[in-house]
Amino acid sequence: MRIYKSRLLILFTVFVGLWSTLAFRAAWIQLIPNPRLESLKRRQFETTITLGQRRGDILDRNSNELAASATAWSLFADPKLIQEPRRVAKQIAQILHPSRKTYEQKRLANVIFERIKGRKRRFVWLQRQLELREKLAIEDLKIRGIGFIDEPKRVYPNEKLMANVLGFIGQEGRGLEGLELRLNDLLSGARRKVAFQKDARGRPLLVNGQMFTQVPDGATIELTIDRDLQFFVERELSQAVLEHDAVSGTVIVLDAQTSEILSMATLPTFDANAGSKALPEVRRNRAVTDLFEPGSTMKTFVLAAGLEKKKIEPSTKVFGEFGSYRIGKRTIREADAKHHFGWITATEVLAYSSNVGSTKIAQIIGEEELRAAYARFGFGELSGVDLPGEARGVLHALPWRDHLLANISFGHGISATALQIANAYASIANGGWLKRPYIVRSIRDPETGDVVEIQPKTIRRTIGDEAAAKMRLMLSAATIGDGTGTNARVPGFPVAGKTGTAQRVLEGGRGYETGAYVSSFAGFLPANDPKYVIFVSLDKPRKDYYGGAVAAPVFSRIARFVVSRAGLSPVLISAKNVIPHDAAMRARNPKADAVQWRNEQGLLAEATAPTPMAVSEFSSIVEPSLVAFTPAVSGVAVPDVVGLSLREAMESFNESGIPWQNVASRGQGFVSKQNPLPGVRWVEAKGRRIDLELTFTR
Amino acid sequence: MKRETMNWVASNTSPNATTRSRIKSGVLCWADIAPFLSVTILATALFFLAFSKMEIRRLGYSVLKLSREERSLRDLERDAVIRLAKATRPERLAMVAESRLTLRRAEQGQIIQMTENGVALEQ
Repeated sequence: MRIYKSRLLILFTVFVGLWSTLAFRAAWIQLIPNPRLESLKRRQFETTITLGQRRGDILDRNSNELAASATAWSLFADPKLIQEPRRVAKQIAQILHPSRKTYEQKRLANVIFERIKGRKRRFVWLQRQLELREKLAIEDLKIRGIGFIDEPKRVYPNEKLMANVLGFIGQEGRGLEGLELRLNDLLSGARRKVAFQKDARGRPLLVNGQMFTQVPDGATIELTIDRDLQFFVERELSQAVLEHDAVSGTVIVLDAQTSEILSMATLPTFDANAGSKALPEVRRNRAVTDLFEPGSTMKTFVLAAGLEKKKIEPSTKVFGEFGSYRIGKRTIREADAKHHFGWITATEVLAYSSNVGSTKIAQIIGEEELRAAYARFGFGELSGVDLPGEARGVLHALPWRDHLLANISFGHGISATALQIANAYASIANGGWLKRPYIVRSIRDPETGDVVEIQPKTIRRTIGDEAAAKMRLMLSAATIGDGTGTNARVPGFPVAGKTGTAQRVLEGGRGYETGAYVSSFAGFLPANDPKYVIFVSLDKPRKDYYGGAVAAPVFSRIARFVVSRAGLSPVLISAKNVIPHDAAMRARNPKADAVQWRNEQGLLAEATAPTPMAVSEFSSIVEPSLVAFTPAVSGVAVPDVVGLSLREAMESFNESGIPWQNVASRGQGFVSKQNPLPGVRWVEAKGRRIDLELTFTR
Repeated sequence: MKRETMNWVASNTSPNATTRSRIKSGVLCWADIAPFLSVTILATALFFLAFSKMEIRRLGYSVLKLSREERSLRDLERDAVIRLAKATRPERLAMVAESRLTLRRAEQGQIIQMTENGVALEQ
């Protein structure tokens, strides 16, 4: 019994000792800090993830999306878990190619089946970057063993539209070309890392749910580009390139006062959604990266330099040497072999694009002054535009040889980008200020909503107000009469501009390519109060090559669209284009035929008497047939009577001086329609009356 | 005196009487129930603490679910925005206008512009 008791006591002591040890160890682990255990705990229960922020959007000036980011879903599979792989492959293929039931769908089904039939691998990609509707449709199938991983996706809704300017991003989400590259830091925003505890199933134990939803996106960039104008410009450029069988083409539209880039189009182009597949020569933005010898468009700056230094006046005459002028061993000839000028004015040098005349004026100015003038206009330096890959251009250092001075005076021996030329013309258009061209209009912070507006920046003065005004007049001469740029005319608006036809420099070598030209036209309108600068160039057109024949018509079409889109009021009114009010009012009727109206009305000739044009400064140079009368405005304005009772309407007409006998009404109640419309000048004439339509609703 | 004031009812029983006898007599003082009350409060507090922690966890899961829903709704919104942008791109509109609606591009002479003086001009 005693032995039994002592054994029991020993056993009890052992158990107590063991349990005490365990309790002590548990307390030790729980209470005493242990770095190894801490790290083990962190690894097991804590995790850190990097939240993928959405890349900021790129919008046009009217907030239309040019580049946007969305989530795309990539489909993966665990082949080991998939039952009936052939059926699964067929079902997925049907969703991914719903409209293509034959070859494409079968091919995709086979590809998917090949990937999921083997059971050794536990992870295979089935399709990358699916859209939401595809993801939802596949989820509805409830297939075991497949899943989705969401990835950011960059979408360019307009596909090829201004792809060379926008650029594109790579697979890692970094901008590789264009604005995507230049503004990458702003667009991509800051990455955010979040540490949180997770439960046994790996679900995050949230302290703050907003940490997942309030991820700062990249900044939203609004451009100065007008999407609709850009589309029109690209379409016109594309047609011109096709029509003239050119290698490439460039068009730039700038705001004449601020140098905002309203449109920048280059061809060839590519689909930005598949940017990495495009060839590098197709991807580049030729408007800022490609240098070329501008040709005669540079004569403008020679004359501007002469006017600024008061060495010439628009009426200064130079001798044209009858089209052939020898300098040292070289002979300068006119571009058009038919031109054999004797004495011509500086204005005519521009109008007829005389190489000899330009050379003579350059000799009057001198190489130092000419080079300084070119430099002031921004040639040979970066314009500072917010686009990547801008070329500086070549403006040779002094001294120049005699023939180089001559060549440079008509745009050879100097190279520039299309943007440099357009911006230099903008300087003349805005009164002599060189401004930094820019394409980013504003930057919006996604977190705070703050918007940073980019302001125009003046670089320097190029020429004085007076010289700029004279230049605008002289440039107008190129588009009138038998000037070289008559194809650039825009009905109703005076156009100032200059054609350019330059020989194309041999690629990678000295000299010029035989029979290859760069045809261009640079100008602005309205010439009396410039609003838009447009530069058009076509590289190596094969069917025709004069700038006046190739580029000027494109300029004209784009300029017409620009002014009508902007709602500019025409200032040049000629007997050819004026339409009497009745016809104009009837033009609002879509069922009527415009040609018939003109015949019915005997148009034009019966327009009111000509008076001097408001822009009198142009009357001296603008072609008489095109000019220059503003029809005298007579009669009284028709009052707005819509919504009034017949009695009130009659009183209104009476107050306006329109006799009630001239008013005809139909129906009862209140006036719902009136013809002519309010504001139209109304002159009493036989058979003319004002029609009112009345209804019972006011 | 102090004890008497803590009584629920006026006590006329002996202070040495047992709790049971006092319960039987219908008289109970603070000192008698204090231990039970303390244990009850402690248990309730512990229960509430556990319940609160569970509730936080449950709310956390709800927030997680809602944040996922919000994200998916944002994805839907982005998807709609992009589809709208694709649908209204100028090239597509031009194609629809020309091929489906059989419209033609405006030609010279079809556009009429108005001057500030109300004069109509044929472009």
